[in-house]
Amino acid sequence: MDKHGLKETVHSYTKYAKDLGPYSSLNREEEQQKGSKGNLSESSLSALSLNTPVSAEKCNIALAGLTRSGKTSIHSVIFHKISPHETLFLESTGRIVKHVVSHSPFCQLELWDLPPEILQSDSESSPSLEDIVSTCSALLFILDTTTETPDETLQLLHQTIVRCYNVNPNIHMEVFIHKTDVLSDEQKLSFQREIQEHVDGELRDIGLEQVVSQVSYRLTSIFDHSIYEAFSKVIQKLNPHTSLLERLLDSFVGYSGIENAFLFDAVSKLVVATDSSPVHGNDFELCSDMIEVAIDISGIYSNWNHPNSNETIQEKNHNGVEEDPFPISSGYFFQDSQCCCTIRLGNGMILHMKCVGYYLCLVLMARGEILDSNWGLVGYNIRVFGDCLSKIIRSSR
Amino acid sequence: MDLPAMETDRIVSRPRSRRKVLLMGRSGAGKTSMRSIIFANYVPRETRRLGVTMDVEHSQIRFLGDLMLSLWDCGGQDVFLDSYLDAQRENIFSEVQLLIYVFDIMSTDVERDWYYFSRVVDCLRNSSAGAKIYCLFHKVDLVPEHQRQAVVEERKRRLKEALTDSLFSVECFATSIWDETLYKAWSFMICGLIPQLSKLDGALSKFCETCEGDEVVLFERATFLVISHATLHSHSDVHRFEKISNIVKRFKLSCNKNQSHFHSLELRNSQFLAIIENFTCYTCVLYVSYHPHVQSTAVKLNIQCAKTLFERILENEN
Repeated sequence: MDKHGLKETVHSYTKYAKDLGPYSSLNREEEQQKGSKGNLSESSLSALSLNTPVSAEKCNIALAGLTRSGKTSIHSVIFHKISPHETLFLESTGRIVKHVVSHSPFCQLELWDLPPEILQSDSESSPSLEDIVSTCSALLFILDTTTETPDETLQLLHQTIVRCYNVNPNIHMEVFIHKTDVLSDEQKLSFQREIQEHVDGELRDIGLEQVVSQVSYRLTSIFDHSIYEAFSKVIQKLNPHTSLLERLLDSFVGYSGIENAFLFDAVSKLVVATDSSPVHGNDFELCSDMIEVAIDISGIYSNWNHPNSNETIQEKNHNGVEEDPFPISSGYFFQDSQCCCTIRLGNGMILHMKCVGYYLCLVLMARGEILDSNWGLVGYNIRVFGDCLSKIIRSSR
Repeated sequence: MDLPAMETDRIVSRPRSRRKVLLMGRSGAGKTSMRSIIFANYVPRETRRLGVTMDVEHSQIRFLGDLMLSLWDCGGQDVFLDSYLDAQRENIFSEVQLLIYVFDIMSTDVERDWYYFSRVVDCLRNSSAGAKIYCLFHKVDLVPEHQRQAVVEERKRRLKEALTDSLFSVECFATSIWDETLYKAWSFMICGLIPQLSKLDGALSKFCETCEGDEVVLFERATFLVISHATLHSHSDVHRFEKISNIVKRFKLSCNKNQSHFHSLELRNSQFLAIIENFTCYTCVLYVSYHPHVQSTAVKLNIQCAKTLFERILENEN
């Protein structure tokens, strides 16, 4: 009995690894690219490197803002899992640094961390802001609410928006009103209103009425979940498949009788898509905390040198999983298509998470009494959802 | 006057074993911080906001239902310490079951640390001879990692010297609020107060075998301190229970933000099945199995069935 079961596990794993084939090879290519471009990011980028074709699959995002506004902190917290409290010790970024993020197929980004000097209109840096922005699909302007020179900052924001629009009229512009954790809810809103009115007014004055709708404002802080929510919104905007995924999730939710469904990029815990029904308060945060719990516990027990599990581990290594860019413990987690986790809460809700491959996790919230009588249906629907997802991913290549 | 007293008597009719626990050490050693983390679900960095403890702060903590811990958090400024050793001596040191003495390992005034420690031990010997003593060398995270062991050994040696004429045996732990060591130490110290421990261990091993589990761990529900565990194969990570305590406590906090609370967890991947469920009124259980055919529903049913047995073990002491 025992042996048989084990073979089953190994067999299904091999099958999964085959499915993963093209993706993992792609991954390696990207790794190489990262390696070769890594040298460049060390020094200031030369104009030459800009001429090299940018990989079509990656979305370029420029991070701009005054010095110490929190640009490096933001991407360190989200993509490098640095604790928010450690970001205090990060040094200022004095040159242009490019960070390549290659997680799930919907989270393929190149982040350009820009030094503040480049924003000055008399800056002679090469490449200039214009050069970089022309290749970017989004500009994040990080606006520090604790700044001592608010007028100067607003002036710079306005200038930057105009300059970016002139080079790249299709660019998405996002203003992160950052470090809001110190403000009360009321203060946050009045802050946002003030900034928005100012920028809108200035844009109207110079006859750029149409740009107003192109700029979004988000209140963020790295000390709570708001930065994840804001960044999720940005990648959803940039992903051409978002509306398709949303429709898919909508029908999944409708047919399964559940409340909400989220598709997470498992590594960064950004939300790639959600269904269109309203999300209550901290549900996002709860779901991403749940993924963390599942990763942590898997990390503890997946490495157990257990007589029964030895064979599976060896088999895995044989399949080439050692090239996994993530540490062993979390690597198992993200690669394991059988991984699922269910958490029941005191108020009768159930959180259910299932890895659907490609470093993506589907998390759903449902009322206990409904889900418990529908597990078979929901399980089937998750499988169908997974199949559709792979079709979307394959078609986009 | 008599009537309300009688009524309260009836409400708390079940006799409880009350244990007096003294938490002592010099000012700034971290006594109140650790108490807040273990018993009040504080996140480590929140402890920075805690002020100085004035005199003695008493707290009654119900542990495992029947065990009442009466925790005396004794403020550590020299004025207070002198008064404990002098005027308040009778009050403080009588009927103590457990003394937890906290040293700040980075302290610069080492001589005075030892002076107070040996005086406290003397008083304790006179008033409550049967008390257990644990020493925590706290804030070890501040010692560079390669020196840590040497520094702790050195302190242990000093401790032995300080206790040459004493009958007490003292156990030591090196702790830090930033990792799992604090949980480990507290689990160990509190478990020593549970009289039914060996019975629990036995029952848990049997339960683990019956359910084809590889590991079963019993946690206290409110604090998530480890009470007992049954492990069939050795695991390389000795801090895993404390890590799980931390993971679950963190998740509980985020559930609280959502006006809800954590109920149970089931995690399955291609290697193992893990279940965390509420067990008896005051405990939670973690079950881990690597057996590919174990069904989670069957395990949950077994957990339900075992509940009565464990409830009886936990209660029968009184």
